[in-house]
Amino acid sequence: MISLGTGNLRFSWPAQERWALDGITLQFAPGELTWLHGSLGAGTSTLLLALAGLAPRITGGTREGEVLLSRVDPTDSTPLDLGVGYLGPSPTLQLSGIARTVHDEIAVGPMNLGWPRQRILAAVADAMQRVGISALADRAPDLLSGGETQRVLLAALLAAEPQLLLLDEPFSALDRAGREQLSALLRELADSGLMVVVACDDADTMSLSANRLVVLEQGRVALDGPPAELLGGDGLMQTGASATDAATLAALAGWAEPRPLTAVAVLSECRPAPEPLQPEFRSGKDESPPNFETTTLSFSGVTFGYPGQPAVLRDLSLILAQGRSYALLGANGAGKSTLLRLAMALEHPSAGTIHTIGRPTVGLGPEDLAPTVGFLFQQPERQLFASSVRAEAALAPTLAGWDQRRTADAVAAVLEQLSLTALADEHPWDLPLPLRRLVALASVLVTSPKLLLLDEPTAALDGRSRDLVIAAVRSAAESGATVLAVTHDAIFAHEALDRAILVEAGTAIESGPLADTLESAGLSPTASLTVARELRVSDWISRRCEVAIMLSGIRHQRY
Amino acid sequence: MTDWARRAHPFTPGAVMLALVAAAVIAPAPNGSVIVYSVTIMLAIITGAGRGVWLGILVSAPLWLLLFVMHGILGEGPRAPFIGGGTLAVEGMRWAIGQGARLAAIVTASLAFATVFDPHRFLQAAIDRGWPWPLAFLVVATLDAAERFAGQARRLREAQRTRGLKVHGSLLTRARAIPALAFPLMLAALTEADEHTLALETRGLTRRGRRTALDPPADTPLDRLTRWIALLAVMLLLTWRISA
Repeated sequence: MISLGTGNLRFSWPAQERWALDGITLQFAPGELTWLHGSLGAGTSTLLLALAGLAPRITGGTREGEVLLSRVDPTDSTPLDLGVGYLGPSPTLQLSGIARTVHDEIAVGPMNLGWPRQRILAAVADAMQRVGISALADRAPDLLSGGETQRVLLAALLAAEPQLLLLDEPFSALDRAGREQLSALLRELADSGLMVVVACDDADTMSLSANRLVVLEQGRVALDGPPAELLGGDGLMQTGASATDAATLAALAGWAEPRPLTAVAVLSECRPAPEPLQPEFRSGKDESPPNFETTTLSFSGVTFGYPGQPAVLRDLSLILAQGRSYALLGANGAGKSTLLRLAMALEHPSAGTIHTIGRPTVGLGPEDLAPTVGFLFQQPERQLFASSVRAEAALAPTLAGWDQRRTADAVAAVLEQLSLTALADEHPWDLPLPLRRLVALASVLVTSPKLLLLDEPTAALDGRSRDLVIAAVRSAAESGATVLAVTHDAIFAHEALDRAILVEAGTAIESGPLADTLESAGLSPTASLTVARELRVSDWISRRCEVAIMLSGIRHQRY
Repeated sequence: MTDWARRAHPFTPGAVMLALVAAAVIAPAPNGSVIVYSVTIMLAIITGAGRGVWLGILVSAPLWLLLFVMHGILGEGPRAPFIGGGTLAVEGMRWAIGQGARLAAIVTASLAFATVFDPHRFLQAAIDRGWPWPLAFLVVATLDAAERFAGQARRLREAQRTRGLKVHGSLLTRARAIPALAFPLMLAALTEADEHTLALETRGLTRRGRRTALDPPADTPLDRLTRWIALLAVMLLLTWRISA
């Protein structure tokens, strides 16, 4: 039976003086689903690498103390030989590059283990079925969406029949159904005797499946215990790690610990029911019908497919009204990212027409739409190219011909807005992934575009970074920009955006107020929305800060 | 036969390519070189690798022009009349034709092979034969790296275009866009190489020991015969040249 433990483990990255892990002593047990949690820089990803034996053997750096995996140091062998499955945070970089199909990609591990062919085929089929990707078997791995890639990689780990799973942000690109399915699968794997350790910032998903929560703070273990006990407490808040949506709402309302972890629990503790807020408390969520006389983006009968592939979008039509913010919702692989690429003239439809900011995109390239249109790619951290954060943010205004003064003012403002001022002289590639993503967003927001096209702007962000993105996007929308954001993050959608477009199988099937569309898109309503609805206040007053104001008048009572 | 080069066992087109390259080096110029180049063109076309012929011409044409000018027009020795009242150096032209055909044969054979080479089938074949894994993976990873590099360049260029950088248009506009792309591309490639190495390690790609070929390509009697003929032809040619 596998065993895993660390003793006074310390690790520092190359050329860094600070210990990323500083005296960690933990024991993990088979059958346990451990959730590693912490704010930015807490060391959760580094700990996973050390447990897998990849740090410092592959990453470089200095390690002190010990890691023992079944009584051996994992740095002395390869993860596959030790029965370890490790999944990193950037899915597309995890593909082997030697497989032509998803089936072959999943077979890479067993193939390298030298298993008999029949055993490999059975293991691959079983892994695909468990993760629900059998339909993708013949697809090319490099043409999958982010969420599909994440599922394929998980299946690839499972096919090698590991005893220990180490997963870094495994839910980041998954839709709601995918998250629930993976969460249940991880629980099932742990129950079957596997040791599972997950570093993740999605408290709502992990709180349902994990039976142990380890919170790190600046490389040290700050809390260790059952999630149900720790998530609603002040200790977690003090580390800066995010709690569940409902616990965050309760904390914002000033409720003392232990706070409820779900919306249902919040409601059960609301006695008597709060008074609905007066309309003057409305913070800007606009549920009035949009005025389509002034459109910012329109698709009319658009069909598009990548060369040699089936059509991704089919006869799709939609209109975005000026000054409105839209969530683009739908399952993985529905064609959402492709829709954004078409809107930015990075691709052109095979049929139908697209008008962006009043211009037909035929014959245009993205450079013709910038900086009036801002575009944030999926995994934007791979698309940074300046030598400092400040220079990165200044690129678009400079290319647009802004003078130095105006550029400097705009850059200073956007860096301040996203809390990046202190990092202005850092090289973007030296920053951790969430901060790189914020830098990419800053470089898009800096010119105050009239149309913002955002692809998963909160994926793999920690709670604080996500709050910054929510505030920035809301601020842009309130300044009159039209926003279209692909997202699987119900909290971001609900807090930052006001309408939704649902895409299914390449066609826009529904468009309407966000609160009504979340559930059609398979997303769970946020805690604040659930509470607002149950208390029969208007959907206009349903954002977290508004509902928190309502709840703050209710004395916290347990029944 | 029209797609034989793609259907054949991956080692067979490789063996034929190596044999043609060796023959181009061994065969006497100019007649032998011209014959080898002709055979290369013929084999490429009938086995479905005709695209390599056109690519070979595109790559070789500047070289042919240079050889013609340097040795035909500017060459010394006896001269023969040429169109427009000019003259060409006879020995220089023989040398230019011989070397031009030799290099074109090598280029064409290599490009024809590259157009039909499937790294994934090659890897399966190499695993099936028990080849040293690092060697087999090196071939595939090198080709994959080129593809990844191209993908990274495309992503960076797209990101720069969305910020307003013009990369199309006049030659000057395109030239101005190159430095903006080159340095970030190198940096991104290096950083991604680190992350990709980590991922490959977790998938067991550096693990020692026997591996299983999931779908090894069939090695038919025709494949084996072709490889033996290629080897024999080179040996005979070499023997003839040494003894002549």
